Amino acid sequence: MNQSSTRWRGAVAAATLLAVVGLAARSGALLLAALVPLSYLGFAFATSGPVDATLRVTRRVEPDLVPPGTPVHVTLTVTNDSEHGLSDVRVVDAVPEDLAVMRGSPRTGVTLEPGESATLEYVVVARRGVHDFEPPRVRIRSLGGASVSTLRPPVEGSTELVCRLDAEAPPIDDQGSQFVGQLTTSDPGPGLTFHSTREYRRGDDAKRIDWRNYAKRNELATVNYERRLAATVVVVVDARTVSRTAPGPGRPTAVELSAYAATHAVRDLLGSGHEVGVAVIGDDGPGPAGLHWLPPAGGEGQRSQAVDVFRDATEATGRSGDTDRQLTELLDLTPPGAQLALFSPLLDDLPVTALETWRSQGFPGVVLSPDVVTDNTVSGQFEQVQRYTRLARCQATGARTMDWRRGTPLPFALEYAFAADARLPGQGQVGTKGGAR
Amino acid sequence: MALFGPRLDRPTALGDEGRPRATSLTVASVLVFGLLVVATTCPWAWGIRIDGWIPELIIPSCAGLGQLTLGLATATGLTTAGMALLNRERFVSLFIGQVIFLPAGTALVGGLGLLVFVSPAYGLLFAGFATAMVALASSWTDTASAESVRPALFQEGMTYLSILLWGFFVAVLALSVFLVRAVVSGSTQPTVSLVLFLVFVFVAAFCFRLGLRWLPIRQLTPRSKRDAVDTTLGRLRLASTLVALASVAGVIVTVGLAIFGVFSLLYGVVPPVATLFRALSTAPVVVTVFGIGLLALAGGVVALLLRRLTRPVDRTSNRVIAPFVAGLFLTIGMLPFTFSLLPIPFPPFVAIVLVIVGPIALYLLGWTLVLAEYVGVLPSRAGGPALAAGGMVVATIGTALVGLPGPVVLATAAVAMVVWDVSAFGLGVTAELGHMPETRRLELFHALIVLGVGVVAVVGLSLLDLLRTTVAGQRPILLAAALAVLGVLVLLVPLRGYVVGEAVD
Repeated sequence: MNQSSTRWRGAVAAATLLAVVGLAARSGALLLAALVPLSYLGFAFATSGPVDATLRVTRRVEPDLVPPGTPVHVTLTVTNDSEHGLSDVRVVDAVPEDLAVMRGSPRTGVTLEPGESATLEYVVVARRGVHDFEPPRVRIRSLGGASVSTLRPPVEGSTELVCRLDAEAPPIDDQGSQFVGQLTTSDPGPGLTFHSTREYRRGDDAKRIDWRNYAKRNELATVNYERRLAATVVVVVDARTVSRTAPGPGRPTAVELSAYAATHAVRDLLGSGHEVGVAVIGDDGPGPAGLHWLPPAGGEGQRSQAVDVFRDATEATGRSGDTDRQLTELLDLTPPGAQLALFSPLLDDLPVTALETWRSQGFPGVVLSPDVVTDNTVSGQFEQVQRYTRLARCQATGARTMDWRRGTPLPFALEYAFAADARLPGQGQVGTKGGAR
Repeated sequence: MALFGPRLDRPTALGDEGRPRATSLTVASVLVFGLLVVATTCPWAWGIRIDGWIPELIIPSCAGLGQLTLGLATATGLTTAGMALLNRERFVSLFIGQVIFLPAGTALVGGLGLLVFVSPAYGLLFAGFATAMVALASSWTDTASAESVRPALFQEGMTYLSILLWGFFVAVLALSVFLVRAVVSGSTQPTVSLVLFLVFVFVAAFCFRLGLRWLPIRQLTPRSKRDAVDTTLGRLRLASTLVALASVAGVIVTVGLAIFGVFSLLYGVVPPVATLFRALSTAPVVVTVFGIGLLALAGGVVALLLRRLTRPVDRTSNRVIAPFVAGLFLTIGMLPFTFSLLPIPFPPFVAIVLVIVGPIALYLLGWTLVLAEYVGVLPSRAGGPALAAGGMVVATIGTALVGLPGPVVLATAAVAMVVWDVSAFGLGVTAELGHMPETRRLELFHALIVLGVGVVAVVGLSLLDLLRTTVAGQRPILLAAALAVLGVLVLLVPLRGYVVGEAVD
């Protein structure tokens, strides 16, 4: 599309004024000065017309398959493949509507010699879904800026960003270990982490004999490891309306982050041989009392079903279900001895009350709370203080509580929340079933 | 990118269309100011005379105009900075904005108006440059639109009314003090002395009562002692009220008794009473009585001001209170100072007219600009550049009428076009790309092209001007030039569709 610029009508008025005053004052200099605006007008007219340009555009999106909340680097390169220079090239990349630019700018304005390239780099924060990048809008102006051509050149390279909850999850078979469970206890037994040594008993596995001790003291001793236990864990995601809050435009909501963390947790727990159940509160699901419910089980099928449930939770836009009824029903559905892992931003008191109830019923609890509160305003700081208070209340119930701040890698948060849980005094046996294999 | 210190505007990250890019504005500003310096110092007339061993610099008389340049730049800078501050919300910003906008704007408008009246050619020259500089400075601060000028004008009007009000109040106060002093020093009547004393007691009690109300005594008292302090304060309030009422009653009773001749009888029976009453209106007693009341009132006013200054931003009340306080400051501090600095050659009534009519002229001029934008004479998104270019066109007329050399006149016209084109280009870049991307190379390239066109036009037309003034006779060549200009304008008719449309692409 080609347009002519029309910003020179003031020049005609200036020329007329100077000519009239020049005639009235009989000033030759003013009459000649009246020709100056007209010469600018003439220049603009002479250099107007369609701008002939051949551009090559390349885009790189790294990485292009990510979980929610991950920064994604986008690089757009525009190369002038014409045989002449372009004096004014303005490029605006078409950032998908749902994404927000976190750093850099998707816009630039440059002059390009033949063969020269301009690169613009920016970072967006991934949100769940498939985001298509349209071709960028390129505007090229003529030498005097009098005519404008708008182009949508085709793009080579990446044109989409895929953001999935299980983007980083390898197959369970690759991840699983030969031990049952990942929750470690203070009790000695088979495992991986050194615990103590004891006197050798007949029938002990030769691999567990402490040969160094035998070499020193000529006595046989057997190494004890921290016993690993299998557990039943019910992962609960808070998808209520209040939790569908984002820290800014184009950022993932707390439900998306919770679902992402829950997906990781399910993957890790299933990979370690635990049985995992899934519940989503705050949405009108097909399960009992409107819950999205998946009974505890193990295996690859359970993980894919769990991911489907989490995906439904992130897509929820309607009103919350009867949350109190859902929480009551959840207690009935949870098998005795199971551990409840709650993923919630803790933006109100209901999750804390629910956790207190679970703890009073004897269920061990884990809380992982994604931080979506911005504290650059007074109200945000107040909200953050309230959230910290809720985190402290969760911790006071005896539940393992983890504040997942922005910038903290999720695996660390999950490892802290789950792996160390069984080491807490008095909690080692709670919520675990079976025994050492 | 701030080139000259902290920015007075507050840009948004993207789509901020009010302010052109910094590089474009820098080019336009440097050109305008450089041309002003050239036009007012006439460097072509400077020379060196070598007489003996020491070379002597020949400074032409026209170089004296350069002294005005500094004053003009200062006034335009202060006016623009004041206008930018008047768009803020905090009390301190609004107050400082008032204090610098009104005097500087009045001086600028009044001074230029006076210059146009005294010498139209020089008036047009300086008014054109001043308009261009104010417009460019407003573009820097992003206050060149009607949306920004309107609150500044509202504030200015409030301050002007406040100055009149405070002026009247101060005049009445001064007159009262003068009269009281005259009466006190001249009075020998004991009854009059007693009445004056009672009036002083009433005023002092009233001031004390007000000061007590505003002083944060209770707030500064430890919580454990607040009950006791509350009781004391209540007693003091009651006492001051009673004293005020009693003094009013005393005045009425004294006047009544004096009418019936009771005091003459009393003075005859007990002569020391007359001496005592006379002593009541002597300076030590009056100063003591007034002092208590005025000290309490002054403390209360300071506390009130501190409270106002430290209160969180309340836009509406700040916009009402700031002009009120600024009016007091200007009345007490600035007006006498301004009068003391007035140039001697002007008669005092001119100065008084300037101070009284100047703000009104500034007000009307501001509203004219706002109206011009509303009716579409000034483009709403490019008001600053359009005004700057318009100012330079007026300056072109001024340079020609003053009789500056032809190349300077042509260069002024060229700078008018460059200012418009470069600023409008910078506005377009801001509107399309925002403030974030680096576009200096793009802007400089465009500025270079436009400057090149200007240089070619100025050089070509200067040669034509030289031909006009040296070879040909004045009248035929003037006619030819007029016909040429009109011919070009007629030729523009077919291009009408090209030149009509949006101001900024």
